[in-house]
Amino acid sequence: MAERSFAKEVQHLKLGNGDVFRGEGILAITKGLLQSGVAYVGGYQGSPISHLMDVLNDAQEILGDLGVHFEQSGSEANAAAMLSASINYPMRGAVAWKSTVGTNVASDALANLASSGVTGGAMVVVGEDYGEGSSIMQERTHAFAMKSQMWLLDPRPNLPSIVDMIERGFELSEASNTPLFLMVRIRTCHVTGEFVAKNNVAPQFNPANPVVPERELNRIILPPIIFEQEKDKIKNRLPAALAYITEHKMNEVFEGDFGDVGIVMQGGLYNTAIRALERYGLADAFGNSKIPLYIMNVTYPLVPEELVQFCAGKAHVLMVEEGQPNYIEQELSLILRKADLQTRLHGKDILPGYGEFTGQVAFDGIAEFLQQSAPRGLDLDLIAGARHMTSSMPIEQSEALGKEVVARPAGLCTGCPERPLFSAIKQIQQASGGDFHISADIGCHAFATLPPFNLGNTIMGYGFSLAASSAMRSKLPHRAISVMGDGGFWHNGLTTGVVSSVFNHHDGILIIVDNGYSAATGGQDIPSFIKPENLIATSKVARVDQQPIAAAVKGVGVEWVRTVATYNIGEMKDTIEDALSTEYDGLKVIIAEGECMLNKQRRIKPQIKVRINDGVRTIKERFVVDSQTCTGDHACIRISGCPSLTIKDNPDPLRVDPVAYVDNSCVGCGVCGSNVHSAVLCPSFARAEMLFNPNWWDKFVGGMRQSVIGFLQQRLQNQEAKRAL
Amino acid sequence: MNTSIRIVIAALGGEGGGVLGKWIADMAARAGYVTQTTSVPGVAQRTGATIYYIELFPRTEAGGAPVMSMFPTPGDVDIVICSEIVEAGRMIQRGFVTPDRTTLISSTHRVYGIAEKEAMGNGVGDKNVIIDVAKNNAKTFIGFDMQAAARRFDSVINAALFGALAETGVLPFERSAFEETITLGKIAIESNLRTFSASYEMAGAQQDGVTIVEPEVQSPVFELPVATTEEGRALMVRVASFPACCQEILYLGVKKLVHYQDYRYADEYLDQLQTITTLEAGGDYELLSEVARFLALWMTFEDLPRVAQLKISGERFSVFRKEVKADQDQLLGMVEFLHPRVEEFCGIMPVAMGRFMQNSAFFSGLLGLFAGPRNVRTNSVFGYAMFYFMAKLRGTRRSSLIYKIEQAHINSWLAEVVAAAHTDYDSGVELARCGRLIKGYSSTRERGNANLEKIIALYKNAKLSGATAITAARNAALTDDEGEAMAQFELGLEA
Repeated sequence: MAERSFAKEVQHLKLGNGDVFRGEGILAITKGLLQSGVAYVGGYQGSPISHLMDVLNDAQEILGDLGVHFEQSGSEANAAAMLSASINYPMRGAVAWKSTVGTNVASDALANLASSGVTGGAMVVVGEDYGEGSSIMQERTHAFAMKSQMWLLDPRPNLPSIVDMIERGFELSEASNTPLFLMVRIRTCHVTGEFVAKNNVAPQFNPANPVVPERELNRIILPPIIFEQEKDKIKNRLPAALAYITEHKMNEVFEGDFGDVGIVMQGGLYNTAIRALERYGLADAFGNSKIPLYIMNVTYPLVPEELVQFCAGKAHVLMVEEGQPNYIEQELSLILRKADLQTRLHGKDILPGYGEFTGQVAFDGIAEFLQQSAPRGLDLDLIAGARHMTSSMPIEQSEALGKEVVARPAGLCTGCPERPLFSAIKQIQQASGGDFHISADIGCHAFATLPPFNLGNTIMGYGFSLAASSAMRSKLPHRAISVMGDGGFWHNGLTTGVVSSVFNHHDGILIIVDNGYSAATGGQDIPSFIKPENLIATSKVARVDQQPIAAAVKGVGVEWVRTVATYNIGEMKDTIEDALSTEYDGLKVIIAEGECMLNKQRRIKPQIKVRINDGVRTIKERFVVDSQTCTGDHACIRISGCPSLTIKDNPDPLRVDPVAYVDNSCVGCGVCGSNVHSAVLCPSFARAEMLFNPNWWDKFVGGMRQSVIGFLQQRLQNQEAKRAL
Repeated sequence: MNTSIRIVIAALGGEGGGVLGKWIADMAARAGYVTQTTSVPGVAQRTGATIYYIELFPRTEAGGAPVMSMFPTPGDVDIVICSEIVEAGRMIQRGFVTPDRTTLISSTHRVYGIAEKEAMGNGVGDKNVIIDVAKNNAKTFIGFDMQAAARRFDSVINAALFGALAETGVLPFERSAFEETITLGKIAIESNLRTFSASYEMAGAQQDGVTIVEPEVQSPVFELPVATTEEGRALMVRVASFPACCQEILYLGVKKLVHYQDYRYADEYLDQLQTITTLEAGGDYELLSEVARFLALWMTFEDLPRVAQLKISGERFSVFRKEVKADQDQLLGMVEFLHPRVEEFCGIMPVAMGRFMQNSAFFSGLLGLFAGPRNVRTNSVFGYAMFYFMAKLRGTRRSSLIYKIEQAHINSWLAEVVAAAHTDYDSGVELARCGRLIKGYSSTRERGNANLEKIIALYKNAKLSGATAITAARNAALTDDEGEAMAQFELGLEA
């Protein structure tokens, strides 16, 4: 069960002709796919596509009713290979993933698909995680589109444009026998808006109406056919695509008053550019621009004739392109040169060579372009005035702010089961007297590379940590340590890491963090079974088709496998120490088990509520710090970093340092208590156990205790009154 | 109107900033506006800061679709709403708050960053700096502790922010439209509405454009309370003989010491302070008040009887119950996590015996059976009784090993403070403030002791000259656990 439920929102997917659809980008994309008559959908989660996968997951009933096949693919490569269904048959399909990481994983299958070509429309919806808040390395999907000859759509970021581009994208794909990308930027996935819906189209083929198996030799990747396919790409598919794009006006031209200049832009940047023009009085709120615009809703391939036509007669044109290298600007420059147009092309000389096209970048860049190009009849002083109207604050104020605005790095959540694992590793490292070299991986556990744990040296990709230690292991003063999440394990780690390491007699340690979900991407389900903690009975039935991690690694030849609950810091330390020192020289796998606390809380909170309301005896736990015994050193915080373990003013007016304090978000995971013991901290931590619906025995014992303790407390109070001031 | 209304919501991951955004967008949609919200999802939201961006534009007869930006842009935001004051600072830093147009609404409570929390001393930033900058850089600034307002009604901060937003009148919607939005939300309607209303009133309390509503900090002139016992009266008379400006701190110290040990112990405390007073030449009695503060804290060092005494008090039981929000008659378990060491057990024994046991492998081993990780249930008869009798050992504290050790440390520190103050008053004050290093338990306390001894030694050897140098040494000692900053500091002195 994922972090966010779209059970209610997916009902909008049933809207028909003329209904107004209101909602988020990811839902609009799904609706666009259904209106296009897709026969199958799949993909792999990862921001900003995670929620698209959640939408599809929650829409399974609607998809099923329509006869649309859905798969939660094991990886992006798996999803890309799914698209082969469109090679031989007039069957539309779409898959989704986070790019460019997912595109990299999928590249083998995608490149082959692009070479074969397709009969039915094939679309890859990529969410580009680029710019502010990105969690991956910064690259462009554009490069892949160019080198494999897949078309790249980059629609204007509003729901009608996106849905329109999906529908025409499938037609373009079929008209040119080429698979394509639909690229949406991170903010577009969650942008809200509205569009007029159409009826969903049920796919032609389904179990009742199966395809007639068909073999087309020219679709198979084997010599000499592949050479024919390459020729086909250039001789037939590209011209067909250009013809379709032109004929259906997929790119848009907006004429403006200042005809001697123009701006060419990727469709996805349109809104940000228009806002900058609006602030200079060169566009109105509805996007009517005084500067001529050419909007590339298709950013690959470019349409030379359209661009030449737009640029002809203009002295200056600005190419607004996000990211690097500036592929589009380079190609546009070539197009202008070949057409022998003397239009001066601006681009990365004015706009930053890297980074996101933010509002500020647009505001500054467009002003700079106008200054340099000086459109006839435009008062440049007005532009300069508007640009500098937003005065910056006095330097002493901004310096004062700089000191007080604290950073908030991402970290492990309250009660996270991975915190005690890294506490254990850190304590072993401290005892060993030197630093460890640890191969880290993608996932929540990557936060351990940050304070307060500072564990982890490299991140090579999703599921690659064990493979990343394969050369290092022979050069380290200790046995190689790799940490991998269960998501990464299933995505790639089993084959790339474990199988290969056993084959190569790897003697290191692989710690697999088994929290039951693909937690970092939003708690999606993964093949391994979810083992609920024992605090409360769960309604979640163990999957009969569970695929346990331990069985998987044993199945590929690992002999040394231990499963340890992460919250048991002592046993975890013993197990890791054993793995570091044992004479056994094969791969050692430690499965560190503990359910993702976000998911666990979401699962058990309603159950606890129901139990308490139903009168069932229930204990709720959380931790408390005694502010009387706490002296304000905060050593407990330095080895935990839990968000619920914070500080507050010292209630003792004599003391000057704030005391530690557990806020009400504490989920009682017990790590504070374990740390008190394993790191010999102070006597200030206590666990509170709130008992709801006590039985007669609880009441009896409670009453007895209360009478004895109450008596002694009264005595103390009397004594202290005598010894008062 | 020919441009959209542009709104930024800055929140911390998990606070539900998205819900507030949805409230605003839904309300505007009902009033006939075209709306757009955007956000950046992903791991950045796990525990970090995040922003939501909203635009509203009145739906026109012609029905054209307005083009809305995906980003807020510096200098182009009408309303900024922050769930915490540092986030307001961050929004000002990013340029989203400008004096010509931005209404800034922010709760003034703090959610501390990890750097503030993990500091060994007090790493908390000064929010008043941010509040001052906010006043200067917003067209209108509404700031008060909205979390407290929400907690009063067991509600969430969104409702309080929404109430303040309604009151500013910057959105073209009536109060009833806001309330209707909460009602249509169908979740915790009543508590949200009460919070909304309370916050609305508080935001409206002042109307001068720049509004900062903070509860008045009461700092009445201190008056010595009337004593309830004979011995107490004698002590109060002594306290009253000290300069008025220091009486509060002395009173707090005396009270703590009497509770910790007895009247005589408090008398001894005042004797020490009497000596300090002779070093004062009027003024604000900085030396006296600093020594009074840290001497009282050191004299009430946390040995086993002290910890036991604090664990079993009736006051602690009620604070504990309140903190976990347990009902008055609910059964509540209290499990203490303790890790006493052999040293702690030896510390409470008579001096000779304690020394002998600590040095004897056999007896240390025997005591070791009781040391180590212990979870004690204070709400059980056995656990409570154990602490009760442990606390009784207060009676023999004066003859205990740990008492002797601590008193020796205290005396050498005090002697150094006095000697320093004779030659340079300010150095004496700073050495007195080094008493702050003495805190915590086991290794933490040993580290503090070692650092204080090091500073005293450096001072004695004339390596540290002047108050500034002592302050720098103290700050170095409070920088990290591993003593790296202190080592660096010493290296700097050598060079």
